Amino acid sequence: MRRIIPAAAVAAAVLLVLSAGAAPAAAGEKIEVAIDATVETLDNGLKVILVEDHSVPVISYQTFFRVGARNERAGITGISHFMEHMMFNGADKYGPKEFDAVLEANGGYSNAFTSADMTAYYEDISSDGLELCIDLDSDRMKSLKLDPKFIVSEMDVVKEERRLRIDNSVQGQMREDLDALAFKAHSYKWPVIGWMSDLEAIDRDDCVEYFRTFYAPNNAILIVAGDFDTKKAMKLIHEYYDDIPAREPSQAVRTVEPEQMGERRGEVHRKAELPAVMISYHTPDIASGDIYALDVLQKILTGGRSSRLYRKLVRETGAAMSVRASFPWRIDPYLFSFNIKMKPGRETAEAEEAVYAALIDIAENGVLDEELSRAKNVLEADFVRSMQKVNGRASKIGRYEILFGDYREIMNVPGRYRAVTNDEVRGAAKKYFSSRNRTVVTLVPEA
Amino acid sequence: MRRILSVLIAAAVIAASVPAVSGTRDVKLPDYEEHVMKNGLKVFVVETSEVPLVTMRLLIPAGSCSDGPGSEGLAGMTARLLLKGAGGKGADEISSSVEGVGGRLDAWAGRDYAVITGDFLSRDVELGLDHLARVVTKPDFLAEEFEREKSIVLAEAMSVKENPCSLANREFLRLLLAPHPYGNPVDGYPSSVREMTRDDVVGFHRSRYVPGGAVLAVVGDVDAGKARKLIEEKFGGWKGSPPADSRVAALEKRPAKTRRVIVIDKPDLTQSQIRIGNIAVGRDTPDHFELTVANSVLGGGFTSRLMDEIRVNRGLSYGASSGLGQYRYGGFFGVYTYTKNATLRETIDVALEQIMLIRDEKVGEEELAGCRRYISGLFPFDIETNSDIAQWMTDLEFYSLGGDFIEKYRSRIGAVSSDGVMRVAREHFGCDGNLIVVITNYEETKDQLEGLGETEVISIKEIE
Repeated sequence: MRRIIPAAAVAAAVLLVLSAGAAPAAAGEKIEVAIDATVETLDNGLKVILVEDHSVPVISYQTFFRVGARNERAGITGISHFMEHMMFNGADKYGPKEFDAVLEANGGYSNAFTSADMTAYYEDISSDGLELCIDLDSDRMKSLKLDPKFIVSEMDVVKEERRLRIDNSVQGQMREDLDALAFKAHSYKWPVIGWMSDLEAIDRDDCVEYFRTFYAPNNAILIVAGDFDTKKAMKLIHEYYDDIPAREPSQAVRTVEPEQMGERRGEVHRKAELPAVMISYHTPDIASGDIYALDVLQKILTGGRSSRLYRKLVRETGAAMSVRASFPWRIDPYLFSFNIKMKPGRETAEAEEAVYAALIDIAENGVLDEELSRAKNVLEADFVRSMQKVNGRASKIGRYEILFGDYREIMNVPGRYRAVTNDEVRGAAKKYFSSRNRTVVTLVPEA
Repeated sequence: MRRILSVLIAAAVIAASVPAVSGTRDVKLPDYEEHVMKNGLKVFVVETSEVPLVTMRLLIPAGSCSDGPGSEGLAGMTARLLLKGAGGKGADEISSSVEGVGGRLDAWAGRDYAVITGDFLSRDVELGLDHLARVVTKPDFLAEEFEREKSIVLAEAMSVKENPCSLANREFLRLLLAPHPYGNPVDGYPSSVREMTRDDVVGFHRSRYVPGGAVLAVVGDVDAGKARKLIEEKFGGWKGSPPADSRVAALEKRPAKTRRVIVIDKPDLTQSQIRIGNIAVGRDTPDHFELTVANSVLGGGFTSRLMDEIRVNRGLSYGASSGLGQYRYGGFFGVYTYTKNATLRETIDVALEQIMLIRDEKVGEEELAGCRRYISGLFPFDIETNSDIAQWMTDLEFYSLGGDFIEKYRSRIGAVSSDGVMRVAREHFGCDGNLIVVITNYEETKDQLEGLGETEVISIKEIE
């Protein structure tokens, strides 16, 4: 069955406008986002989203697969990320080394990323590179080779990546420990790059099975943004992708992380110069309306030089060199985390106290109107900034498809931020930032 | 995460047909207005309407290259303090006002210049220019803010020692370029920062933060007439010319017959960081395009020779690249990679072999053509956003690269020959006399490093 959602005539595809209106922003104006896309799902289940936009003579061609570390199991951790690497190592038409060779020699650039929830690939190239991208990407979706020789050498590459990001990185190791301690059941507990022993053990059979399960067209979304003709592009996509068969959908992730019943604490002892602490709290899944209030909280607490904890810890007490908080949106419930690096000779306890005091204060008293309006304005403006590049627009569409099942949620985001109330912010602080829901990892520097 | 950051596709024989790509559409900057204000400030205004944002970028020739011996870090500190209070408005008042409207305001110094940038919604352009002008022309340099910033800079220097990659980059430049000021970290050394006084900062600002020689670009969804008027209003009263002695000595090549190897011993490492390089040429070199292509062949994209030999063929590293640091008074060439301790020597040898090869053998026509297309093809992505355009405008002016630089970029890259590539590689990619900096667990890798060159070992504890 072929589904077509508005087969719209396309002009300026992504429209960001400021319009006068009843908005809480100080200047009384609001930002609206309109994405004029042509969407079609092929018979094999591949969802295609085309956003024509002739402002720059380039295209960004992106393929998002609904697979990440979240879909792994013990013994093969890191395989999602490893498959991302193997996708550049040869298929039927374009053999080993040829993907990059052909693309780069034609003025294109390609990269990819793997997260817990998704694996995404993109090519950025001049306008007339569209058919080349279609050819390259349909080839590897159809017929990835998984050459044993390349499996061995690519795994060595990934092990170096692990040594770089985790084993020889103080912050990398702390983060790995924090996730492992905060989760006891859900697959968010292991690092996207995988455990070293699993990297040693993953074999070709594991890869073949993983590819079959997750790299099916019905598990993917194809987004093309930029300077091209929608009709011609859709015709070409049919030509190259239609014969790739749909496959049985993979088993859904079933494990639900049980409620945390008390604070968990851990320490990392290793050579380091400065004390540091990471603190995290379990948060709700993407479907919860609370995610917008939590984004607002993230800005109020550590977003910029006007944030509460920056002012407290970096400016007022001078205990910390830097303070950050992150709240990445994920499919399943994940974490709101703080990362604080201390000045030499200062205790991490001082940072913990300041964080807890700020959280209790907000849970009890809410935030200042000025803080709320500032956070919303920063979130809105940053949202616009993230849509400046053709690549950024395509990537946002892919992420929203994976997270919300519908890219059109993008258009609602500015409004959702504007709608956040002080009560919601206070409610979210009260609900999630309790000591029993907390996990803390401190770094104990060794000389 | 596959990829970070170019080889030999020995006649990449690809059967069947490959869809054709020409990539020849013209690339040019949007229309812009330029003028020089009475006080000497050079101004560019570019109207774009893609997004309701305006970027402003002010470049001031007040980079760390003007820091003399003992005052390393002064340019960096001055820039860092601009936002910490100006014209009677405190740091908190400034940040609340800027962030209150979702704006951004930042200031930092590089080696050649200091930059103050603002990014505001179109409706807030006046507010943005007002803050920008105030922090640049009337900073208060409060004693309390100065002491606080000092302690942050000192902590950051310690923090770099925890990150092997950042540490390798910092120490490589120091060991390669010092005593030229380009070798100093922009934020200086802990010893020089401790000695710095508030008067030093005030003095540096007074002599260097002047409109003469500075360049301002305002790019985005703003009416050019309105922008010009606002700029006149906010910057018209700014006065001063740069000191007569503001030139910095050129970074000269130091020909050496033998290779120097400097090992920084950090015993907790399981992976060694490798940097190889030499002093090369500055931004104004007539060989810029040849160098760009030669560097790309050796260590630019995913199909570069270094990436191919080190990562793809041998699985020795996740990343291997080469790069050119090109500044006003000189520059350098460097190779960047890392590998597990057990394969340190093998990786260094492969990298050295590739530097030799591009010097000794002409690049084949097919490889060369592919590389030229790669560079040209990606060029439009460097001119996409307001801030990309603002950076081009200020850099083109500061480095005197010519108004047609962008328009002619692709044809100049297209004209690079294999003879040109070999010539610049021989001249600027050193081999026998280069410097190798390694950060490693020396106890574990000592034997491998034998016979590589004259070796000096420094303990991590001796690094400031």
